[in-house]
Amino acid sequence: MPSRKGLPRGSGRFWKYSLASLLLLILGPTLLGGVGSWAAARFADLVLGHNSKRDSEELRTQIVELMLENASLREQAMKADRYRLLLGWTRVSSRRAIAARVLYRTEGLISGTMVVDRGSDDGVSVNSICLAPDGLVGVVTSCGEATSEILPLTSPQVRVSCTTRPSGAMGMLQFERGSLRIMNIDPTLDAKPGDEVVTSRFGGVYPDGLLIGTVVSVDESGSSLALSATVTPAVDFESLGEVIILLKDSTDAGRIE
Amino acid sequence: MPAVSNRPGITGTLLVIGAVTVQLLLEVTLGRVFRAPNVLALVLTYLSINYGNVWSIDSAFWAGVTLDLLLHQPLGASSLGLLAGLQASRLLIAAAPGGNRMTIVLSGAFAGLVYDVVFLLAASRPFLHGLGSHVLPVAARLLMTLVAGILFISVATALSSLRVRGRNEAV
Repeated sequence: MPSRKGLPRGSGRFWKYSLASLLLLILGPTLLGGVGSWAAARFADLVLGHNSKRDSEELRTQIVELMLENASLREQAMKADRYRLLLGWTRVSSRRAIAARVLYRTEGLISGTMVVDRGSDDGVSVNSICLAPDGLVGVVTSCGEATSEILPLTSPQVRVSCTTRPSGAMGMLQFERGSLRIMNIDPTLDAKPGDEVVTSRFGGVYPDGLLIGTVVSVDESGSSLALSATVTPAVDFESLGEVIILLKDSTDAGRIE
Repeated sequence: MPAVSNRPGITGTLLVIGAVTVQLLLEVTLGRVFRAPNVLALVLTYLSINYGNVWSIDSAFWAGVTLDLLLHQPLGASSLGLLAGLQASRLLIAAAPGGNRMTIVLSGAFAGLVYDVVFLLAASRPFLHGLGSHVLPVAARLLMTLVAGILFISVATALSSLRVRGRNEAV
């Protein structure tokens, strides 16, 4: 049926819709992707009552809170690992032990003492032994109600009866001339660099078998026939954060010179 | 067979909605592309012959858009194909010497063929690069559309005959 302009009826409409289809074909992905997503978000706001801006602010706050919580949990996990190591040490000992935190150090790292957050209220007493996961740290020299002072091995006042493994040489460990040294070693025993140094059973204060360090060199001990050995401590005294204190047995007897 | 320009009313609308639904179900169940007869092209050709171009062009556009959205096809590809198919079938009908029932079937199948080719070109990426081995299933679909058209016409004729007979008996 021809129209007034000579074109078949519906021809204009056909071209109009064809053009619309072509436009849809070209702009369809944009429409469905960008505008569609925008419309869907507005629809969700309208129907579900969501406010995307407020939601994103809440989410951002939650992320920050979770980050802080995560950091705190990580720190606690690290501490737990460290305490687990410390407790691993005490598992072999029948003596009661408590974990303690180093609060501060006095008079420098070498000759000074360390103050920990456990005292007589926790059962700590003078001559209690202080350990770290790596080995022996020192001995408690004074005790308050809530804090204790520990004299480390690197203090010249401390002397520990020790033995080397596997050579079995015995001697007295003390801090001398800027390093830990074992004095009065029997020259017939073959102490050599690389030997482990542990506490001996003759110490009195210290239980035997606690790791002290490693022999780095063996020297002649001045004019006497005995030898001496330089020892590297197993514990890094500068980075001590947490320690464990072996509470003193009633049978323990010993002294600090 | 000249086009008749009258308003299809609710019947035509329902017919288009039904055709879109059937086409959707067929393509979803039998296969997304070219595995089901093109019922929509047949119905739109039927509408074009019975109710005129204006209404069928509107229907072709909106049915195509609906089908594209529902089947996740490139938006506008089906409507463009249906419009081209309708236009082609209209030219075929204008060129045909006389009209009978088979004209609807043949022009509907032809509309379906044109629709498929245009759809292939429009929906392909890169644009207009859809021809090639993809054209082969179009022939099978053309046959399916022809069979569906013959079935459709046979059922419609039978129903009309029954209705006429019933009316005669009533008189």
